[in-house]
This record gives sequence, C-alpha cells and structure tokens, in this order.
Amino acid sequence: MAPVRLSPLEPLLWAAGAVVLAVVPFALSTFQVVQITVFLIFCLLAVSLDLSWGLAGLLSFGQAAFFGLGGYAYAILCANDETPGAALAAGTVAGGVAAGLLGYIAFYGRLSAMFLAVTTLVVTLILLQVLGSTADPSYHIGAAVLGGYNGMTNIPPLLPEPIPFFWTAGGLLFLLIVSGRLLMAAPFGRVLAAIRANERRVELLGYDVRWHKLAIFALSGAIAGLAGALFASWGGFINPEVFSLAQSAQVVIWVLVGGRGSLYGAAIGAFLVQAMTQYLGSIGTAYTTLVLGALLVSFVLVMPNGLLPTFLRGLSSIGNRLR
Amino acid sequence: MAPAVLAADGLVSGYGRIRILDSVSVSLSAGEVVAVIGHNGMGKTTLLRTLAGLLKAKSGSVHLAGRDVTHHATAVRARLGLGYVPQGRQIFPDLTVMENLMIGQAARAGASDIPAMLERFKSLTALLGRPGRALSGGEQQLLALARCLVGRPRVVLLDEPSEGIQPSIVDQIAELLHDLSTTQRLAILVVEQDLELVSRVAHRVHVMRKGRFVSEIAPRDLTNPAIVKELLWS
Amino acid sequence: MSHSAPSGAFQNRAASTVPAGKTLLETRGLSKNFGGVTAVTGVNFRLGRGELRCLIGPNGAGKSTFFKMLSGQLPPTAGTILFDGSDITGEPPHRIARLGIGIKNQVPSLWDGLSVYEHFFIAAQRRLGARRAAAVADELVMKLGLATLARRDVGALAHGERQWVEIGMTMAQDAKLILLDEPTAGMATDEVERTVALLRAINVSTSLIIVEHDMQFISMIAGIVTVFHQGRILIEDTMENVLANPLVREVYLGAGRPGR
Repeated sequence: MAPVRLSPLEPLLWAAGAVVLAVVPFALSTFQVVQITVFLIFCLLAVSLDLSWGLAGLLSFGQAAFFGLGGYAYAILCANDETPGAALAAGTVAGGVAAGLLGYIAFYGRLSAMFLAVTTLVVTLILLQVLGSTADPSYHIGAAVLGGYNGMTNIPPLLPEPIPFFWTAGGLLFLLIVSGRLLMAAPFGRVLAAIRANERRVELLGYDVRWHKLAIFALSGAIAGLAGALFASWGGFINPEVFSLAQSAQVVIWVLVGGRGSLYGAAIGAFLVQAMTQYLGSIGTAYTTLVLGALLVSFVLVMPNGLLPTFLRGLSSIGNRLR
Repeated sequence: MAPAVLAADGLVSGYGRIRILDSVSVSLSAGEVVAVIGHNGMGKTTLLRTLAGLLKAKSGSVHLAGRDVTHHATAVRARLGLGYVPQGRQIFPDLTVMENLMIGQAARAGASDIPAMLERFKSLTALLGRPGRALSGGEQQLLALARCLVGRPRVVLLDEPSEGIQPSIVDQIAELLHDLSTTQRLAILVVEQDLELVSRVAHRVHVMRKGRFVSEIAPRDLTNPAIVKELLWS
Repeated sequence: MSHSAPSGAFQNRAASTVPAGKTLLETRGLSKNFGGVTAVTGVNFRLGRGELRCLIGPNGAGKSTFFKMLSGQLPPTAGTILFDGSDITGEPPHRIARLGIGIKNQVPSLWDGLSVYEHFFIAAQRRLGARRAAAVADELVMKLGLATLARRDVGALAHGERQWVEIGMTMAQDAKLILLDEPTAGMATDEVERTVALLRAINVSTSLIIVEHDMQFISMIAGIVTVFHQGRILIEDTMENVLANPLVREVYLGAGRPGR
C-alpha cells in the first residue's frame, strides 16, 4: 500500500478548508452547527487512529480507551474546579500517557502486532467494567463522583457558544491534520512508513524502532484524549459507553471506510459514517445497525482500500485515458 | 513444423501507467528450450508473469496447446499444463519439504514422481521432514523447482532457476532440464543470467531489451565473451 | 583426503593468518542451533581491517545464518563475536548497525511503497541529518545508475534492480564492515562487472564479507576465500587453492565449471 505523498495542491486544500470552517457555521442552523461539531470531534478521533495504523502500521482497538480517558479526565478536573482549558490539556495528557504505557509494554517487550491489537481491546473493555462499577457515591476523585454506568453529567463546556466551539473543534482538527501531513512528509514520518513496510530492515540501519513506534502511538493516544475531552465538553456528559466494544470498532470502521494512510480519508470516513448513522436514526428506521453492517461488508468487498484511495485512483486513470 | 505448445503473440503488458512489454511474440514446441536473457528491468520477469496469467495482458494473446488462454486465470492455465517457478523461492514455509512436493504432485493424477525427483535432487532427500522456512535460500529454490516438476507440466516457465544455487547443483539442474526436454518433451522457457547454463540447455536464445526481443544468439556463442559483449551489452 | 568432517587444525591455521592487531571482526566458537538442526558449529573466523573476503559453500552450509548472527538478527547459541575490539554477541540489530556493521540480506528486503531515493535517504538520514542525507541519496542514485528509477516505487523494480537498491542502502550507512549476501543474484554479466568495480571502490574505506556462488565474480574480486561446509569452515585460502581443493570440488563445485 503506497503512502500518500504530500501534493503541491495541498496548501490550496488547506486554505480552502480553513475558509469553509470559518464561514460555514453562518450558513447553518444552530442545531446543525452543534451536530456537525460532534462529527468533527469524531474525525479527530479517526485521524488519531490513522496516524498509528495508517502511517506506522500499528493497529489498535484502544483509541476508544484513550478517548474515554480523555473525556473522564476533562470531567473530573472540571468537577474539581479546574479551568476547562486546563481540563482539556489534562484530557490530552491522559490519553498520551495511557498510550505511552501500553506502547512501552508492547514495543519494548517486543510483543507482536497481534498482541497490541488484542491488548488494546482488552484494556478498553476493562475500563468499561471498572468505570461501570463505580455507581456508589464513594467512588470519587476529589469532588468528582464517577457515577458508574450513568457516568458524569453537568460537565461545563469549554466554550458556551456553539459557533466558537465549532471553530475550536474544527480548528483543532484542521491543525492536527495539517501537522500530521507535515509529519508524514518529514524524515520521522518516512521512517514510520518504512517501519510499516519492513521493520527489520529499518532496524538493520541503526534505527531504534521501538522508540519510533512508542512516539507515534503516544501521540495518537494524546490526540484521541483531546477528542475525548472535547466530546465531554460538547455533550456535557461522559459515561462508560465510550469504552464499549461498539465504540472501539467504530473508530476502526471509520478509517477502513475512508481509507488508511492519508489522514483525509479517516476524517471523511468518520464524517460520512456518522452522518449516515444520524440520518438513518432520524428517519426512524429500526434497522440502522443492519444498514451500516451491510454498508461495511460491501465496502470491504468492493472498495477494500476505502473511499479516498479508490476515488483518487479513479481520477488518475481517467486522467490517463484523457492523455 | 511442430505445433506450438505455448504461443504468445504481440503481448503488451505492464503495471499501471508503466508499459513494460512492448509487443512480444514467442512460441515453443514440445521439447524445445528457449532462453531469454538481458539486463535487469527489461521485462523478462514481466513476460513470464504475463504468460502465467499473473499479470493481465493489455493486448495480444496467449495460446496453450492450441487453446486461447489470454483471459484465463492462472489456475486454469496451470491445469492445462503450464508450470511456473518464479523468482523468490515461493515455497510453503509452514509445510515440510515432503508436503510441498506432495502438493505439487496432487495437481495431477498418476503415479508419484516424487521418488524420481528426489533421485535427481539428492540434497532434498535429507531435508524431507524440514519445514520450508528452515531451508536455506538455495535449498528453497531447489524445492520450488522440484515441486513444479513433479506436477509433470507440459511447459514450464523458469525465472532464474540457478540463482543462489551452488555450482555443482546448477550442473544437476542443467542435466535435469536437458533430460526433461528430450525424454519427456517438456517445453521450457527460461529467463537466466547464467550464460553457461543457457548454452548447455537452450535451443534458442532471445535477447530482451526495453520490453521486446531485439536479437537472437546461437547458444554456443554464449560461451564466447567477445561475442557476448558485442551482441548483448553494447 | 577422507570425506569425514575436516579436522580442527585445518580450520585454525587459516584463521590465524591475519595479524592480531589489524583484526576488525573475530568470532570464537560461534554456533547456532535451531531446534534439532545445527546450522553453524564452532566457527572461528577472523577478518582484517580493510579486507575483502569472499564466503562460499554449498546451499545450507550456514553462510546466511553466520551473517545473521554477525548483524544481530539471530542470537548465537554459543560463542562470541568481537567487532572492533568490543564484544557484540547478542546485541540487538540496531545497536550493531550503529557500531558500524551493515548488511544486505540474501533476499532484497525493501520498503514497498517508498521510492529508490527515499530508501537511500532513510539509510543515510539517521547518521547525517536531512540535508546531507538528501545529498548522499542523490549521489548514490547516480553512482548506481538508477537515475531514471529514482522516484519509482521499489515495488515496481525488477529483482536485480532491487539488489542495487539494497547495496546502495548499505553504502549510505557508511559502515566499517558490510556483509553482502549474494549481491549479484539476478544480474547480467556486465552488471556483475559494474558491481565488482563498485565494491572495489567501497572496499577502499570499508571492509567487506561477500557470500557468492558466481565463481567469475569471486575470481575478479577476492583475496582470501573462506569455504563453509556443514556449519563449519572447511578451508580458508586463496581462490586458486580453494578451486583446486578436491573436497571443495566434490561438495560444491562439481564437474569443474569455472562459472558464468
């Protein structure tokens, strides 16, 4: 699978994206702005997985864990009277540290890729159990009562107005995609692409691949934690549902549908799948899950590389034929 | 003229936008050994892959024993008697040497050729119980060759069969190929860099450059370095 | 000469021909077992600084396994490896690479999806930083005659072209010792000649150990030749003496073919 290279058109794309983000809230109703904000947060979560999986080849089912930990960290700090800004930072750090810990065990212990995939999933489910069993009010961190399966509510938002918050979430997504793309083109990113293709060969050149993998995995965890904190702020609530199997799988599905390795694909996949889920729910079908399942199966059969790569390849073959 | 066991006409193929084979035609009759030599990247492996059906021809045709197989999958061509030993030792790493050979044998009915093959490749006899991945590179290459041949194909495509093989076994391979072409009338299309091996087994030698056959050399001239330099590498 | 295992005296004689002070690499009693299979047994090997040694032997004699132990890809079962004065036995591959050993494995192992240029860049970048690595990568592309293929995805390259890329990567490392496992596999005669010239140029500043089956290549390039057989060193001598040795003819060369 070829890594997608930085194209000379990209800065134009970024400029256009920035303009759209700045302007679009004014063309939408408040409800739509709020709705799209959460889609943007999910895009951020998908991008975090793509950095780990698409770029470095590290499949993790644990993005939901880092997401959830970020959300809880935000809620807990806010409940303890910290500023929302500090709480947001804490959420990011929580995700990064958790990923760093897991990554250290997996990579420095030279454990297999399968180990990473399974362990991240298990950790997520353990968190589900642990936080689900905190119903008793004696489970609290400072002034923050964890609330078991009901989770925590009345979480103060980062910003009270929807449009500024939209811009914050969108802005962070924009910033991280641009940074991610620049990272991919930088030597560090190239080495990660090489590690994904043939780790042993990279080692034989003197690179400490364990460190490289840990670095990108921790970064992806931090971004997931940031997304989690934003999510808690968006909804004003957080509960153990974020650690569910469904949520873990969702992240992987978003990246599969959109296409691995470009960051844009992951964001597109997340946006489309969530928008479709929302739409199906709103028109009242009882079969949302079924439709989504069928969609996923057909994707895997017909477009295994995901939307964006298939689309781009289609464009280039049309371009060839026009030559 | 003997009917062609394998005939390719005007083959064009490549990868994506890159065109590698530029209208190549070749034909082999039963018992004929044709060699293709040339620099790297000139299309030799691409030719074999296209003939085997692993690469779709953009235009041109491939006929196997008179039947048009141009649009047929590799498995179908294999069942019609086409054998292919690619570069890169693609043996089954988790199966033992014996199991690898048995899979090659299972492709056809009839008595087992394995004992006879092991006579030829004595070094494999000591390794029968070893899993493929535990063999050295050269041993894997021999196994790949043996596995293909026990299936008694009618025509084989060999991509650098001598690569990584010690000189004394290259001798054995040369003898084997010579025998198979004369006694079993096996048609062989072989891509090779070892010109001495080619001079011993080939009836015809094509030089490939930039995706097409540019000249033919008499096999015996291959052992003359002056002629080789003149005709091949200028 | 009997066809049983060679005597230890035969082996040790050649290993001591290199004056001790100029030794770059030394192995003592190096062995490797895989389950029940003994791939390498008690190998005492010595390489002088600046030497170009060829390693030959029958398929399965243990040459690649020996290389993999030297580069840290396989931990030895027994014995020690001394490189440039320090004991590197059992060190991980990335540390051995940093100490100055580069290796090209038998089967070219590249990064499909990345271009030729990027391979050289990554190989040079860790040591040199991005800007100098870019210059080195450009230079290597030229030196190896890969200019037209520089931006091509290596997955699209022919087998022999991939060998060039692998060789180029070891050159980019600027190692003290480069191990090359069958560098000319898949190359035509004039390409082999080009490789010989290239390796001679590399040898000016880097010691080389080369595994090969191509007798013509070896006669063009070798000083001393080490012959492996059944996991041990059978004989270590000049090319002429090795070719004339009856046991070598029997187990390896066959009916006296001189090579390509």
